Amino acid sequence: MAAGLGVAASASALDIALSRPRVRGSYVILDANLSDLFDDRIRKSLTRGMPATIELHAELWKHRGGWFDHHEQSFVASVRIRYDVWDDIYRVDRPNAPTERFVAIDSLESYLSRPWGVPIARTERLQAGTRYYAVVTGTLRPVTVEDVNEVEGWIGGPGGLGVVTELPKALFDAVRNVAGFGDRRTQAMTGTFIPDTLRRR
Amino acid sequence: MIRPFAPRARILGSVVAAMVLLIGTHLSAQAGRIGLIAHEPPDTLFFTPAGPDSTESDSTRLIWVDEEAVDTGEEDELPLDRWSRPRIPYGDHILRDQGLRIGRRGSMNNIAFLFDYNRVDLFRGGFNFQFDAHDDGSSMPRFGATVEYAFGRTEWLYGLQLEQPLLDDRRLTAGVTMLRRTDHNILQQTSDWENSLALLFARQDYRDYFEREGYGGYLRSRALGFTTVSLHARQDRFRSLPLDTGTDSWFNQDIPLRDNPEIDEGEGHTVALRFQRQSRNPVRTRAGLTHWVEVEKAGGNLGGDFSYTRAFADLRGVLRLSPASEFAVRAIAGSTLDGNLPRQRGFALGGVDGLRAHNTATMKGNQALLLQAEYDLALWSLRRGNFRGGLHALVFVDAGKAWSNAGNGWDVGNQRLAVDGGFGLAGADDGFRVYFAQNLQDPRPDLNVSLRLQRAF
Repeated sequence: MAAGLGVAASASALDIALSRPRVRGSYVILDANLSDLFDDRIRKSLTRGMPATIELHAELWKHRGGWFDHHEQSFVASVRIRYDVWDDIYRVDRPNAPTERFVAIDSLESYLSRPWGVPIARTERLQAGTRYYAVVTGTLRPVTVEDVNEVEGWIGGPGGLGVVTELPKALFDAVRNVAGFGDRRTQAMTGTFIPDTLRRR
Repeated sequence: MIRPFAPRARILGSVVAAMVLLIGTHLSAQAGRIGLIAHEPPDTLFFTPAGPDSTESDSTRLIWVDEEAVDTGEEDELPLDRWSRPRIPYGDHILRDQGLRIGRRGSMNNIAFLFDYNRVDLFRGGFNFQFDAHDDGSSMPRFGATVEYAFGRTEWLYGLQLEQPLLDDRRLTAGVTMLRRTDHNILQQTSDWENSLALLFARQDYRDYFEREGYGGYLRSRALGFTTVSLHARQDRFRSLPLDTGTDSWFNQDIPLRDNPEIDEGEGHTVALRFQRQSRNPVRTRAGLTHWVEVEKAGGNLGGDFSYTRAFADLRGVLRLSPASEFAVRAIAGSTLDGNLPRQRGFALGGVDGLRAHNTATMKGNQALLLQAEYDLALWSLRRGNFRGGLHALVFVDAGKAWSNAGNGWDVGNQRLAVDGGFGLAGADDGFRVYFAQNLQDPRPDLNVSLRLQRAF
């Protein structure tokens, strides 16, 4: 994989910044700001109709003095970006929200650079007086398994059989990386926080 | 005088290296606390956990992954793509639950093209068809069929499996299978793809083969929650397969291929009680325990050419020590409780699956013990630039032995276990990894280098 990634190196790097967690409703929320979302290669692939997926994987950890920290729970949020060739617009789908449409890739990037409010825990599950911290991994996937599924959908047609290969994921990743379509990743961690002291908003 | 001290020194060295990495874990975690912003952001894009009334769109995923669910939940509860699941090492793989399945979204039918290159079949190709509702609540039957052709020995191979739920949520299912396949030892768990590439590029075949043809039925229940219990009855005929001397490789062509050992040919009539919980969780949340425990009895009133009782357990656990590190352990124990175990049902250790500094199947017998531990530390400082996907440092140690005891006693106290250790580098997300392994009991050990496409366990 390292060799493959080496070929895929480029100047721009996805980055992430995290806020201090806060309480919103019955959840502890973390605001994550993504920057440098689209490098030149991603921009080109998007304008050519290739979809992309951005995923935030948030993990909540409990600090335990003198011992290894404890992984409490995780949350995954993702959005899908597609270019609609017929309408000449970019569509952004995310869960429980209407599809957003953008006419230019810059406005799309500006929209996605807004803070992502990611829940990291239900407040009732956190112990008062205990120290926690969160780790967020941001991943931009130019090509995903779901995308390959769609390609098959064109081949098989509605109701048709799926075409399947059992190519190992590691090999597929290597091919993606060599082709410049490997995942872009970034990671950040909050400072420790005590649930009782979090702002409610 | 040097021999007794050298292994201890190496073991001590490995322990010290592991401790250094453990300390490094905490340091890297502290160093990662970066990028805080100070004020409340406007225009936030909110994500909310999917509740019972949520309407998740087909193209998005939003899930809670509670650790409790990972530890004790049912196998299928994480709605992630099958490709992200670790490969399940056991079973006939007729009904396949993991692997990339390029199918129409929501489709119940799939075809998988199968490829394998090994030293008895040469190229073996075919396809796997699967009808699967992909819904554990469904009362629809699952059906799988595999058809392959072994070009080297010009034989057709097949597999059929039909599984019908008898209770809701598949709490109880009944199934039948019929197959003829190129099988291999239970402890040689490299995938077809990985083994094929190793043979093609490095002239290494990590498995020993035999042919198995037969049929059987099973009852399987998930009622216990923490495990899936199943009862199997089978009748199989076992045949030896000769090495195909025409096996070609692109590199290392001067290296002689290992012979494919003969087995004890005959017909086995068996019943087996199995407890299993195979990990289907994606890489990042794969913490938890998995197990495969089986007691198999052949002969006696069942008839057949073989008579034995074999017990086998494979227990695995992954512990997340910090956001950047994890500790994986595996314990295997196998024993013949009575009778004479045929060679094809014996235990083979050594090679890339276990005892990584030993050659493939160096140890064989009717008793076995293997303990493995692997520490994985994500090197965050290298996550930019060329190693954007991340790089992981690995430290591991394997200890174990397979031996024969004529009295069928599991006399591990009388055995001198082999101990291998070493280090490695891995890409992110369970991808490529390279291991450097040494026999820690050898004063002048060779350094065994192996390239893997998956975790060793």
